[in-house]
Amino acid sequence: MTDDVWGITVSEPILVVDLGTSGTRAALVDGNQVTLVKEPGGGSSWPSAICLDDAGPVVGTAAELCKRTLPRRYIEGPRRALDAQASMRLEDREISGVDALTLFVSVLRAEAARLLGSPPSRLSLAVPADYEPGDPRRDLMIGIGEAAGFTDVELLPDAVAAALDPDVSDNLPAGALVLVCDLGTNWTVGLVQVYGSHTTLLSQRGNAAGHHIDAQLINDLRERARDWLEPLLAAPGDPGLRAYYEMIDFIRQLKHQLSGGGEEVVDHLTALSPPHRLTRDRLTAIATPALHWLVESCHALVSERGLTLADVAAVVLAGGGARLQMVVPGMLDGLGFRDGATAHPLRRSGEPELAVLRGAARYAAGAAARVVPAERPRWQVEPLTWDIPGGVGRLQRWLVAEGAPFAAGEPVARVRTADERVFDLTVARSGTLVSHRSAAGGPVGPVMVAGAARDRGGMPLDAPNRRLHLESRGLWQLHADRQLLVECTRAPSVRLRSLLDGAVLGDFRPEAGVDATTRGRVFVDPDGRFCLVGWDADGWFSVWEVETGKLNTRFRDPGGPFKVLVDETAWRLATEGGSRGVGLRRRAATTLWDLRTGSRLERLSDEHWRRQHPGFAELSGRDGFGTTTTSPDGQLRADASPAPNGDPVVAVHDTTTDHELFRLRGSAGHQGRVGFSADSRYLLVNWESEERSLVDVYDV
Amino acid sequence: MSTTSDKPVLIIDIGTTSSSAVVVRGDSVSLVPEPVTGLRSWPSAVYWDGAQMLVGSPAEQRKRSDPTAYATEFKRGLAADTPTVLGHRRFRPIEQVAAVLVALRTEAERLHGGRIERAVITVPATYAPTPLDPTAAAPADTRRAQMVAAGEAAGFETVELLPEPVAAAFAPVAGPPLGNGDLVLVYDLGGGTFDTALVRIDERRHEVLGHAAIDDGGRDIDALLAAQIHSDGQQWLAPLLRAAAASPSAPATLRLGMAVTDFAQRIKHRLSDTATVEDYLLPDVPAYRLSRTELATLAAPLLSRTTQCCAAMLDHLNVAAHQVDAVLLVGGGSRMPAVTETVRRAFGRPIRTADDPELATVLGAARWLARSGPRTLPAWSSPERIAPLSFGIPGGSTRLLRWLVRPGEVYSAGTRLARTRLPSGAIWDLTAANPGTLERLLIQPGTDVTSQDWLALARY
Repeated sequence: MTDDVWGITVSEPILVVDLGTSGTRAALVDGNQVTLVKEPGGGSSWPSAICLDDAGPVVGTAAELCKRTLPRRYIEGPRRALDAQASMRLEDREISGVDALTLFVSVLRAEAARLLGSPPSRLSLAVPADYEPGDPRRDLMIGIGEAAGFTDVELLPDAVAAALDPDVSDNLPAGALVLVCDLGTNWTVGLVQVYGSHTTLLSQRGNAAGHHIDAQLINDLRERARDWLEPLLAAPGDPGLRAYYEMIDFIRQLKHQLSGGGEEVVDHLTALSPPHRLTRDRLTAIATPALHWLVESCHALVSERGLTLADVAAVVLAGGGARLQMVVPGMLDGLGFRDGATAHPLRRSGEPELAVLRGAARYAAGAAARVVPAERPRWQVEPLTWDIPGGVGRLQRWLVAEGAPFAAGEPVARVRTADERVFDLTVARSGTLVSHRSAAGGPVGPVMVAGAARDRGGMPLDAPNRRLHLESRGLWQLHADRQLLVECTRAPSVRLRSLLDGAVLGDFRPEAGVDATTRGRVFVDPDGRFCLVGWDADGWFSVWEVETGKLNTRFRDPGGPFKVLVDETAWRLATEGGSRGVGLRRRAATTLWDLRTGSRLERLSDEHWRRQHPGFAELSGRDGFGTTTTSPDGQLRADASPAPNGDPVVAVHDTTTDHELFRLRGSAGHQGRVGFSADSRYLLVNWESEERSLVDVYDV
Repeated sequence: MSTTSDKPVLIIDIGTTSSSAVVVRGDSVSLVPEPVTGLRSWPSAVYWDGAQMLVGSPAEQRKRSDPTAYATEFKRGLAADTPTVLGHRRFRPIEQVAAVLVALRTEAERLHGGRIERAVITVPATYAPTPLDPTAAAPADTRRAQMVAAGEAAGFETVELLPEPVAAAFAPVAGPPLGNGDLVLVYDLGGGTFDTALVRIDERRHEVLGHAAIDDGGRDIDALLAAQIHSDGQQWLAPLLRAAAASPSAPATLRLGMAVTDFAQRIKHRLSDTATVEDYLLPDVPAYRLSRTELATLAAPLLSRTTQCCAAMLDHLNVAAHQVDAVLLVGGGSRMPAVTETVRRAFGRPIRTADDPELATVLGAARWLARSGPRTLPAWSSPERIAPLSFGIPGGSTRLLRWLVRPGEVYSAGTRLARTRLPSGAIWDLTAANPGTLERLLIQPGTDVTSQDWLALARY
C-alpha cells in the first residue's frame, strides 16, 4: 500500500499470514506485488510446528526435522492451544499458545525482513471464522502480532479471505454471496458476502472433521498392525514418542498420496515394518459423515437467511481437505449441482491450501483503498472545548439545554474532576448551544467538547457545501415526507431518489398506454399514494400507481390542446382551454374528470371556474418545493426570488435575527424553488427552465 | 470571576466525634461556632426527639433523657450503610450526616447573612476515589459518593471533597511553614479514629502518597480512663450504681456511665495543661486524682498502635523514617503530651504541631480553597475557523489505534490522519477531505469511536 504524505509516496509493505493448525502460509504484499514467504527449504507452506533446539527455537520444516532427535521438545499445531486457550508442554516447561505462535510469527517476520531489507511493520493475520468479533482470542491474535514486533495488526476471517481468493472468485458481482468450505484440520463453512473491502462473514459453522478423519485412519492402522506397532508406541521415553510422530506423518502421507488419484496406496511405516494399505473406498467411508455434515451446513447457512443455493454465486472449496477425491463429487451431489453440470458454482483452485493466503494477500493489496474521508464539516457549528483539570472528570450536569442560548461567562455545564473539585464551564462569548455531545453523569476528559452555533458576526457570508447536484429533463418534486426526491421524466417515468446521495430507490416506467407524445406529472392521491398522471396528443389520460405500477384509470378527452390541473383532495382532473365547438363558436371551456373512475363530471365555461374550485393546481400541492419555505426546526428561511435584472437568486435568512446568511445564484432563464429536508439538515434548491430541471442539495 | 473569591463557601470537617465548619468568602475566613455553647467544634451527635433531629450539644444535652434516641460516631456506619433506630425511627448513616450538615449550614447562613450554595467537605484519605472509567464495576466504596449526596441533601448546590490529610497539611502550623517538596507524615488522632498519611507538600496541590487508618481514637483513651475510674472508685461508685437502678440497661445506669465517660474526658483534657489533676465526679464523692504519667501509661498501648500504623504505611510506601521531613500532629487527641513523646521516640523526626489541632483540617481546607485556583473553566477558543473532524465509519464503530498526524501539523486533502481497526479486525485509515491543520486531538488511542463522534479539531 502507498501513503501520500506531502506528495511523497511512502510504501507500506504488509506481511500476510495464515496461521493454520497444521500448515502456516505467509506472503509479503507491497503495493500490488505479492511475494510468497517461502520456507528456507523452498516450500510454500510452513509446517505449524515448533522445536526447541539447543540453539534456540526453530519452526516449520526445521522443527519437523529435529523432532526425531528431540521429540520432547517438539510441538505441533500450536494454534490448537490458542483455540482451546490452554498451554502445551515443551519438555519440562509450559508454553502458552500465544508464546508459541509469537515465536512462529517472529520467524516469519525475520524472513520477511530478509526479503525486504527491513522488517515490515504491518501484519494481516487470517483468523479462524469462529473467532467472532468480541472473542477474546482475537485480542490474543493481535497481541501475538504486536509481541512479534508489528506496529499494526489486522485480522481477517479466513472464510472472507478464501472468498476473495482471486483464483476462484474473480468476476463475482458486488454483493455476491459465497459459501466457503474451508477443509483444514477443522472444517468450517462460512457464508460470505463479497463486497470488495466491505466483504463480510455473515454466518459460519465448524466441526473437527479433518481431525476425525486422521484419527480414524490412525485407528485403522493401529488395529491392523497391532502386533508390531503397539510395542513400538509403548516403548518408554523418546523412542515411543518418536514412533507416535512417525505414525502420524505416515498416515497423512498415505492420505495425500491417495488424493493424487488411484484406487489404493500401499506403503511401509518403517523399512522393516509390513506394508499398510489404504483404499479409496475406505477413505471415502471415513470421510462420508464429514461430507454429509458439510452439505447439510451449506444448506443450513443459506436457509437460515431465507435463501436457497440458487442465490449463492459460488461455493468455494479451500484447505488441504479439498484435495480429498470424494469431496468434489460428494458436494456436487449433495448440493444438487449434478444436473446443470456445466455451469455449477462449485469452485476449487489448484492449490486449495493457499486459498486463504491468496485471498488475504488480495485483501492486503487493497489496503490503500480502505480509508474513510472526513465528513465535510457542518459549517454553522463551532466546537467549544474545555481542558479538564487533572485530565479526567465526570460531567455533573448541563446548565444550558441543547438549542438554548447562553450569555458570555454564564456557566453552561458543571464538571467534577477526579480530585473532587467542581468546575463551571463557561464560554467567553454569548451564543447558542447546538449539541451537548457528552451525557450528564458520564466521564469526560482530557478535552470536553460541545457544539455552539457559529458566531456569524465576523464571518463572511458564504454558501454551505453543496452535497449533491442532480439534473433531469423532466420535473423534480420534493416528496411530502421531505425525505425523497421525485423525478418525473418526460418519457414519462417516475424515479424516487434519496436526497442524501441521489441513489434511485424506486423506478416506475409505464409499459403500455404511452407514446412519444405522452407527458406526465406526479400527484398524490387522497390515500397518500404517488400516481403518475399521463396524457398524450390524442387526449388519452392514464393514471398509474407508481409503487405497484397498476393502471388505475384511463379516459379520453378529445378536445385539446389544454392545460391539465389536478385537485388532489377531491382526486379530480380538469382540462382547461380545450376547444369546444367549431368556427366562430370556438371557445375555451374546462372539463372536470373523476380520477377514480375516469368519468366526466362537469363542463364549465366560466373563465373564472377556479374560484369555485380552488383545489386545482398544475403541480402537486404536496410538493415540498415552494418559492419560500422555512426549515422544519424553524431556524432558517429560504426565499427564491424571480430575477428582474437577470439571474435568479435564493436567499437564506436566520429566522431569529432575520440576518441574511448567504445567497445562491441560478443561471439566467431558470426559476428557483426551495425546500428543506425533514431533519432540517439539507436545503434543496430546484432550478427549472424550459430545457432542464436541476436540484442542488446543500448541507446546512 | 472565580467562584472561590466572590461567593461564600462553607468548609466542613465532619469528624467521627466532632465536626467544625468555617465560611470562606474572598480572603475572609470565619469559624462557625456552635450556637448553644459557643464551642468551636460541634459534637457529631444527633438526637431524634420524635419530631425533629437535634444536632450537636442539644443532642448531647438530651441524651440523658433518652439515651436510645441519641447517636454519635455514625460516620463509621457510612461504609456498611446499616440503618440505626433512634427513638422509633430508622435512620441511615447518610441521613444522620446530612442532619449535621444541615445544622452547620443553617448556622453558617445565619452568621453569613445569606445563602451558601457551595461546600467543601473533608473526607478521610481511606475513602476510595470514585472510579471514572465507565467500564469499571460499581465502586465497592461508596463513601465519597455518599458524602456528596449528603451535602446535596443538606441543600448545597455544589459539593467538593478534599482528603483530610491534604487539608491538614495546609493548616497553619507553629513555626515556619512546611517547605515545598517536603515529605510530611500527617498524624491525625481524632476522637473516633486515627488516620495517617504521607503527603508531599506543594504550593498549590499537596499529593497524598499513601494513607492508613485504625479505629482507635481519643474516645478509646476516654473509655480506658473511665474503666480505670470505675475500678479505682469501686468503693464509692458501686453503691451509687446499685442505688441508680435495678438493671444495668436502665436509663439511670446508662446516664451514670455517660457521666463517668464525660468525667474521664474532662480529666484527660485538663492533663494536657497540667501535670496532675484532681476532680470530683459528684459533689459528695471523694476526689479523683490522676497524673500525666499515669495517663501516659494508660494510653501507651493505643499510642503504640498508632505509630505502628504509621510505620507500616511508610514500609508499604518504601519510605524510610529518615526520609520524612516532618511529622505533623493534628486532631484533638494530639493535644496529649504523651502523643508528642511517643511520636518523637518512634520516628526521631522533627515534630510540627498545628496551631489549633482540632481545627487543623477545617482551617487547612480553607487555605487549600484559596490556593486551589478558580472554579470556572473558560472554553478554549481560536480566532481562526475551527471545525470538528468526524468520519462515516463503515459499520458505525471502530477502535482508534493511533494518530498519524500531530497537533500543529499541516495536511493536504487525502492525508491519512489516523489508523483504526474495525470490530471485524480490518484496519481502516481515516483521511482528510480538505487540506487543513490539525489543531487538537479529542480522542485517545484505544478508544472506540462512532460516526457521530468528533475525533479532532482542525483549522481550515
